[in-house]
Amino acid sequence: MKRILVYHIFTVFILFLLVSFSANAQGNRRRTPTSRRNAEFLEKQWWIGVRGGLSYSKVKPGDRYSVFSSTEGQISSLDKKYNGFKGAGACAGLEVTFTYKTISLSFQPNYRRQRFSYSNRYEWKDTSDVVTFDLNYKQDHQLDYIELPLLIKYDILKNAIKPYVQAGFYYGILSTANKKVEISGTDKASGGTNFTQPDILVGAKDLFIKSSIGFMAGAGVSYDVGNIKVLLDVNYRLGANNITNRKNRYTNNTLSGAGDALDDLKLRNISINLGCLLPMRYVNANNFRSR
Amino acid sequence: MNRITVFLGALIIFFFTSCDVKKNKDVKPETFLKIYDHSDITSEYSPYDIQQTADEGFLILGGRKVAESPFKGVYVMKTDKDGNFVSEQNVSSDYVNPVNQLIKVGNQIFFFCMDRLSLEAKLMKVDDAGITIEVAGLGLLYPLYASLNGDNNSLTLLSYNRDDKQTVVSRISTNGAILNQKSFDIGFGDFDAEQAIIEHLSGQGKHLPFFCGQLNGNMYYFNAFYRYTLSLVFFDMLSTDKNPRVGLVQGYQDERVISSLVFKGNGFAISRFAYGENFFIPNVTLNYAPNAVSSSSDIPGNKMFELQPDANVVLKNCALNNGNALVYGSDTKSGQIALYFYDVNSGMLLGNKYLGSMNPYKLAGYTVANDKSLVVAGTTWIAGRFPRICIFKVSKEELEEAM
Repeated sequence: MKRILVYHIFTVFILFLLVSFSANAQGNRRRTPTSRRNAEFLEKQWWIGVRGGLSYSKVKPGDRYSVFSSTEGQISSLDKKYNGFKGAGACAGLEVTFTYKTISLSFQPNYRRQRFSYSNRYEWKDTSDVVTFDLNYKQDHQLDYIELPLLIKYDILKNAIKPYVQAGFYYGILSTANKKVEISGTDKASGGTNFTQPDILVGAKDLFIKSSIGFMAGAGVSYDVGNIKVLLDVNYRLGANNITNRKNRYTNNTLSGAGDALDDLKLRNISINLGCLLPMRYVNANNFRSR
Repeated sequence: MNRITVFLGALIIFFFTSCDVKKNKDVKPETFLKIYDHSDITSEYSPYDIQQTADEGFLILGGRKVAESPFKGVYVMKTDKDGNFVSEQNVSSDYVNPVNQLIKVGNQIFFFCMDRLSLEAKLMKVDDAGITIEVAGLGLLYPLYASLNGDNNSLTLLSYNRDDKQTVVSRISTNGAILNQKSFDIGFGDFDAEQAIIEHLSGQGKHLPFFCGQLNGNMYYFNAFYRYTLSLVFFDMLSTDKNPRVGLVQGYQDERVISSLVFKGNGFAISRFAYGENFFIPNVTLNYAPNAVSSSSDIPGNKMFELQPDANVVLKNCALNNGNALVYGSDTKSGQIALYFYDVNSGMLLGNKYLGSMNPYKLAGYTVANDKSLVVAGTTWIAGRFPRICIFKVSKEELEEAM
């Protein structure tokens, strides 16, 4: 309920910004004398460009699930241990931005690889604690999304180097998903020592739902190099939905056979991006101004 | 600018109403695999059968190692409807050799086992919480198999009388009274049937496909040792003859044997094995008239190459979502549990499904749950070595896809 309320407040906020942005622009147009139109024209700009960078992800687990069910009541011992923002994925895409004075509306479709991992450890022993056997599973996931973010940007300063902040939301469409399971262990029960088993590599698209939605916010700087605007920014994405396909949690024979079942998961992501944008509107060829 | 506003508004609405996000939130998981683990490296449980309880949870009947007997002790486990472990009961080691079937009679669940010292068959009752109590001692030895009769109020028990070397079939009430009984000599010959029975019960030898049931009215059947060999025998339970006349589908020792049977009203579905090869025969007419004799090895069928030699087969006529289907469950050579679905009338294969991977899996039993899913109990060996009870819940959607 609380989450729904946050969604609605956020939606209303975005719509309010858009409507006021639009109304303000139209109102000014009606009042503006012809002599000032060129100046006002230059306060608006369309930008188009490319951006790309590195993406670091982790997941926040919700309800926990496991193929194993302990008959000793030690439920927490079955919990997975999640790694933080570990393992870089790449992201690349386009940016289309409309700027009015210091505020911009930016659409940044991109292809994004998000990687996250967790591990499980299971141990068996006899009453003497000498005869032991343990198994360690390291599970790496690689999810590729076609992502459609929509952001409001605000230029803090109007210098040559312009710091800015941005916030918005995104909708991601799952393109591919793969999973790798590395299995190792220690076998003292057979008088042996450490061992490894061949990795399991499986397509895991069925384990995740198609959509990933969430909010994002970030900060960066832009710098005008001639007609081109070069930018560098860092963004944080807060996934709002459970990406695990609840229906298919146990349906992958290979993975569930190896004891794995996904928890409910929400994505978290930090990305560092470099981009360059070109202006799309000119008063005339001699009167171009990119800022 | 208005166009942009409309576009963005539409995008926002799309964003918040993403169809699969909402579906995913609402979906009730209908499929699961659960492996019931214990950190004790020496713990060892074998499941025999599974039944759903009134609270939609599941009861699993199993065997456990007991120091005092070569036979397995009785183990009962309770799970919730999602397969999560709730409780377990290591029934007193005075009771051993639980017979494979958990039999639901109305809201009550029964099974048979054996007294550890006297070897007398016992009728046991389990409540929904998995608490087991003895209903009655039956004065019979070595229980082998039990089934529910058509009246849904009495049971048929197959047992072996070691003293008289007889296969015994009894009709038993749910309070443990023997209502009818017939006995049949196992015969004597080169083949030591008794040793095969004892090794089957202790788990030291070949698993033998004993079964029994009511055909219709007074006609009953059993698959057990009869005249030197493991044969399918039809007889009249109310016959007054000392040696009732039987319809016989003869096997050979325990090598060529019928391994499962379902009576369909107008015919039979069976499986058989012969010297390691397995055959499914989902539509066959058997002559069970008194004194009729035929041989199981003459019955042609579908040869199931992937199954283990002389495989354990659990065959049931199941009421699934799309109507009844014959479900053959068995074990593959590659360590998976295999389910085969056949049309009840035509005997045509509708589809199949394989369960388990990575570690070996072995079938114990299955039941159709209230939501028309199939819940399969089995054994898996974690890391290929620690035997643990597992259950698969195969949703009705998965069953529909498989068929």
